[in-house]
Amino acid sequence: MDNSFSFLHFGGLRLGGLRLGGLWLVTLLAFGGALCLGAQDYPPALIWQALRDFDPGNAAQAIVMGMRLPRALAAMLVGASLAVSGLVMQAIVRNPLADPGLTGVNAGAALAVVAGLWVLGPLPQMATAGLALLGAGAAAMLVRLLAGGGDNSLRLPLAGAAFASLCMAIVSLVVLLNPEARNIYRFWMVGSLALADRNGLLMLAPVALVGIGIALLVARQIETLMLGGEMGAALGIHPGRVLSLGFLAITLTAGATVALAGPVGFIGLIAPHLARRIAPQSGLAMTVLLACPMGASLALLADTAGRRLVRPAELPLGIVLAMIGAPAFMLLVRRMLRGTE
Amino acid sequence: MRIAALALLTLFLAALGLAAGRNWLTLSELAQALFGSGADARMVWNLRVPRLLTGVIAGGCFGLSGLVFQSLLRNPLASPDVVGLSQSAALGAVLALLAGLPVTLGAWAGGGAAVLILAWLAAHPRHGIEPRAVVLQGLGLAILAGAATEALILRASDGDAGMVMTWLGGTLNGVGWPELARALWLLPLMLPLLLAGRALDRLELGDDLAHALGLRVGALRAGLGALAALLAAGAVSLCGPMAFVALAAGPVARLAAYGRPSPVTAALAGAAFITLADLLARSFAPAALLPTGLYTALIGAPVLILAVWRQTRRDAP
Repeated sequence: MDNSFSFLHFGGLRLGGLRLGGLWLVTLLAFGGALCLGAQDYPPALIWQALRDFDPGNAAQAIVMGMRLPRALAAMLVGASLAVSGLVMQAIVRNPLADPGLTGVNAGAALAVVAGLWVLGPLPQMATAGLALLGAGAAAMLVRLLAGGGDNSLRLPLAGAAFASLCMAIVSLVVLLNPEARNIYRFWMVGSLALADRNGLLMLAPVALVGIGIALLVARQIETLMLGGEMGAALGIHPGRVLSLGFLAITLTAGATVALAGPVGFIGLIAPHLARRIAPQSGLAMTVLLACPMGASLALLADTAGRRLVRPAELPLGIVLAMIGAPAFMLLVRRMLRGTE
Repeated sequence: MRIAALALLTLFLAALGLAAGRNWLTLSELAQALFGSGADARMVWNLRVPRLLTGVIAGGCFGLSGLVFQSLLRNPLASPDVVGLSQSAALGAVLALLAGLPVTLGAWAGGGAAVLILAWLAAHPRHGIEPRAVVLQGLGLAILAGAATEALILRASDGDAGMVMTWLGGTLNGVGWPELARALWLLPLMLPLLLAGRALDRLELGDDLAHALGLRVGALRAGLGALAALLAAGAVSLCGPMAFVALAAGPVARLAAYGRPSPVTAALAGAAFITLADLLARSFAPAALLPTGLYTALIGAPVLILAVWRQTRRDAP
């Protein structure tokens, strides 16, 4: 039973695999779109040329390889991480409205980053990432406290919104008071990939991937645990250890995202729901696998739309996602309220 | 007794607000400026008096509308700044500003749209409007309207964008006599709500009991709600969405009025809150000129956390 990969034998492997493949295909298309479209649109042939043999002298190829490629990869990483973060949180607090943005985990991480900037001055990227992880971890524990016993209640988004608004008020205070910070963090503050570069990507990708890996490994145990305390104990699951690992997964994925792109909301809400809709029968582990490409393609599409719609300016990722995600949230709330009668 | 103390506090803060600024005035200097002439008098009368009075009126509107919403929906979280009414009014105001239309009309249109959307989303086929649904749907509406406003700003020209950004933080910067004249239009709208204390008190007993006491419950609710929405949106058009003023004024007023929903007290509390926040904004870091709304958010967010905490403990099984 403790075989962590036994999920592969559950829930119709072949069907799940087919859906997974389909989703990754969509992600690949979105990835190609993200490389082609932007302030200037390039034909796919040029992208292919740049990827196959890169000519640094060619301005268009330089833009594609130097700016769009890292940004598209960062979007995929952010999307997949947030989707997994949201999914694990939803499972642990047993609330379909849990999302690192709505519950204030992202805001807590952002607060930690900005507080570090305030106290210590400009920080190297590594320290920023560390602070984001610390803040995300602390805020995730707080979410657990706020969620209380873990019923299906609607208090979590309220408590999260209250906590997040306090954090973000302090964040904007610091950012507005520091002239240097204002220029750098103005877009980061609302969630944007404009600051995501190659170095940040290389440093944070392993962190986020480890988080996703942990989520995959403990998915089955979390599922069993959530059936009820005694059931888990009878099956030889250590609740404390499983929950800690779950929180570690949330912290690593959400923290890495904030360090890379600021507090981005709603992917953690939408992607898991879409993943569950696509494959309602599958277990948590399969849903984690499905949520990754779902989140990645959502982030890619939202970021491309943000760059393409208002060019030459760009809409930050966080704002595009809020405009899609807030109605989705309202729809979910409506369904939940109707369902609780 | 407590109400008198609140009124005194408001007066004290107002006097401090007139004295404070880049150059502080002593009490005697302030008196001279108010009743005499000279450079100080020009500064006080041209800048500080209209700013203070506009803030007081806007704060009164926020406080009143917060109390009325909280009372009608029997939920301390159901204030216009939590359920997205302020944010929608701000969106409407920005749209009007960019289109060259009167800002107040835009704010009213936005606020009205928010009320209709929330009523539609939270209406239950049998139980009428559900307060819990209003609060949660409002949370989504606030995020949506905020994001739409940010998107609009990014599309605006740089000059417009800078102005709108500060205004969106909630600010009284640049407020003068023309703005005060606009604010005075809100006073007649405040009057019915200031006198509605008894009605609110009875409505809180529950619809059946209120009906038995001879109130026309449905019409009363609709009328009070519409007025409160107009006031909140009107205040937004004056000084931007000052975060959490409406939210915090209600509970403070209740505390001062021994648990009763006293509109006069709520208006006082809102006025005192904005005056205090503007005082802080002008006293600390005057060079950076932080938006006043940032201070109301910093003071008000803990109130929100407390309200959520108390409510969830009460709701907990």
